Amino acid sequence: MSRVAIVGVGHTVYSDPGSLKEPYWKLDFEAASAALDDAGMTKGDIDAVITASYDLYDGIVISAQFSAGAACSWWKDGTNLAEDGAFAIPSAYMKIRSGMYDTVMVVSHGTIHSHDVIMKSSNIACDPFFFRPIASNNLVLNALQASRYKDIYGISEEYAARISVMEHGNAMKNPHAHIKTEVSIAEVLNSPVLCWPIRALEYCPASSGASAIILATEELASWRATSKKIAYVKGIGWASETYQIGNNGSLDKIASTVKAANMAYEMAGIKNPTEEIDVAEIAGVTPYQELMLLEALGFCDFGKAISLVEEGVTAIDGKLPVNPSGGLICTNPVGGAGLFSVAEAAMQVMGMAEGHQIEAANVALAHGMSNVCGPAARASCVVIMESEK
Amino acid sequence: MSRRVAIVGVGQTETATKLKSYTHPELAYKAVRRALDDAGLSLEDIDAVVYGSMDEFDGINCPDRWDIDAGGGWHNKPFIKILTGGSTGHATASIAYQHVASRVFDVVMALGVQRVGENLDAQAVLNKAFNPLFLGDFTLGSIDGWALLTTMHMAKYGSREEQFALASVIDHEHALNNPYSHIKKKVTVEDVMKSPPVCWPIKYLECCPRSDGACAVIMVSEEKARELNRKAAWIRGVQYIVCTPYYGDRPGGVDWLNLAMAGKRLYKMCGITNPMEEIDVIELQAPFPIVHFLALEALGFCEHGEAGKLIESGATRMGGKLPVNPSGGVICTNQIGVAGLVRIAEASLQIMEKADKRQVAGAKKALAVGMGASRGQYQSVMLLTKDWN
Repeated sequence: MSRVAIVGVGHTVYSDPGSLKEPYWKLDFEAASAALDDAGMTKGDIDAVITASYDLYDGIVISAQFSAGAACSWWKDGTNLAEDGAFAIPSAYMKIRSGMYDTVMVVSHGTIHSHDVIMKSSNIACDPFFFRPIASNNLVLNALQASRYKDIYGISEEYAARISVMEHGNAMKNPHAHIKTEVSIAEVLNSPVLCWPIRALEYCPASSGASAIILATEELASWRATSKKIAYVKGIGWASETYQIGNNGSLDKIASTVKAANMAYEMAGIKNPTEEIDVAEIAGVTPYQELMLLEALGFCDFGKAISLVEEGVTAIDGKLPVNPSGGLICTNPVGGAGLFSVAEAAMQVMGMAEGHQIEAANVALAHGMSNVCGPAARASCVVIMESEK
Repeated sequence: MSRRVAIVGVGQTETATKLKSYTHPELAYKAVRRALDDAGLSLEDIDAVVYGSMDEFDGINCPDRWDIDAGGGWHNKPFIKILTGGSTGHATASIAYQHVASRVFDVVMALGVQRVGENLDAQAVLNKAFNPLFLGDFTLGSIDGWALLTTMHMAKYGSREEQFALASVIDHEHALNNPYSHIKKKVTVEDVMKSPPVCWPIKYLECCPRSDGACAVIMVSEEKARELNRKAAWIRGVQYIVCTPYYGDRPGGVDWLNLAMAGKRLYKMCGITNPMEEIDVIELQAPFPIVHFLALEALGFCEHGEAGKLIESGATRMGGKLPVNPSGGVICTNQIGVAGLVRIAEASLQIMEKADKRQVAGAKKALAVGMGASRGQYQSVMLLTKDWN
């Protein structure tokens, strides 16, 4: 069966949305152009386009109408997902595997101006009867989840701070990362509490920036073969979660990620993820959520993620480096964050990462989450990529 | 090679300006339940869900999250949300089609839910779809754009106001046969001409209403369709095309070259050489009469400028050579982000001979046409057939 390949990856610079001087579609255009350059293609080579964006974050009704042209979809099949950018990868994969198209461009951006906007828009994503009136939003629900996890497994604040320090350290090596400041455990622990137990230096920023990925049939990819490595999509999986927080039975076990990972592992034929995966980019917006994701992805048993971190397994020079890019704690283009992770993972297996390149990264996992109202009603997406010269 | 895909179940809800007796998820569930019953399946049988809605109308950000359990996403099913403005419904169906055609899933549900009644003025929402720097201040909405296109058509081809009125009269006539129709009222050309102009030359009785409503469509693989052994409509071909949001910049003006191109691609895909002779019935997403004109001409059912004559000949009436909108179309029911999916549902009902009073006798090939965003920025066509060949 013909495989689907990733032939081009493009990033814009990720920066503070307050400094943005141009509309969001300019970011889409920059990322799409970078991906075309990377693939050695022109816009005429693209058959179909998928964008992923949320209208409320962009401040325009049907915001995709302007992204569409920037992502070169004129006169082509073009659609838009109101999901995290990572979900565009399975959609593109299915477009190619359905035999309709040979090349698909995927673009997603984040331009949300401030955490204030995220909190307001995540509050109105809550149902009007129960959740909205109690002022629940992304931060509050993430904090609720974090404190629950902290309680059950006795995670100290120092451990959480250590993860944040590690991410900040990785981001220093990544030319695309938004927040580039070396922080110490003491600095993290002295930073103000946003919503207990989450501190300012432990929470994702809001970044502006876009990423783009070009997928193609195996035949086209090998026909165009350049000197660089190509990443093949080995497995995809995505799943949703029930709406009301707590209805899952457990706040700390991210059920949608478990399901999405299992689907992707089965497709990729992966039995032992910790052994078989060389590098992972995952979408944790707090250190606590990162630990929960490591468990949900099957890298360790529930409650054991902290020992993975303690043993240095997830460090950039560890056995299974997690977020060598610095992750969402340092770069968080809201709405496009998952595609940022996929692009970073693809760059690892294509050998395109710079200071944060992992040696011998052949199999990479990328994870993205749509969590418009925090841990309630999440949807997770997992993509597994494999390199081949 | 694509796998063949069939529609085996359709569920629609009643429609009204405001369906006060249901919450958002309850409305979703009603459509899902009816589609499952129609297909003889249970929720467990659904492998994945594709959801479409235009959030801004519904008074909630990402209603897909609230609807997730009622909308079939329960038990962590793969669930993905689409938003491309008015063409959301058609885009939802085409992504769902690719879920099955790519062999990733066997049974997939496309679901659309929209509650336009939750907002005070849909046009105020739609004004926010325009470029805020250049166009937003001109109080543009949906109707004025269609009025401009109507006058352009009148100027270029000499079409008359009575001809546009007749298209609305025919839709109203057909809506009387549809139990799910929002507006059920017999009108004459005289009534339409006498009704007050909303934005000249568009008159009150030529305008779509704004409706609450939901629709679900179940698609299955060829193997599964054989196993189920029920009435089915084959998705013989589907095309989706994007153009610029600035409709004054579009090449072709009122000749709608983008829809014409999508039509040509579809006809080639399905081996149609003479659409007027080969296609038995059309379901057209036409919120105003001008869309009847532009679409019938672009899709080759008559020459450019001849649609008025075609409509006057009675060909598009029930019992005519090419009945258009046996359901009453969007002029009588407009659940905006769902209306495109309803076209596919209604076209499938025609093929499955389940359309009761609005059944076109012996319909073997039905064409569903969808469009949306900025006056047809996104255009789509799907051909449903009784037999594959």
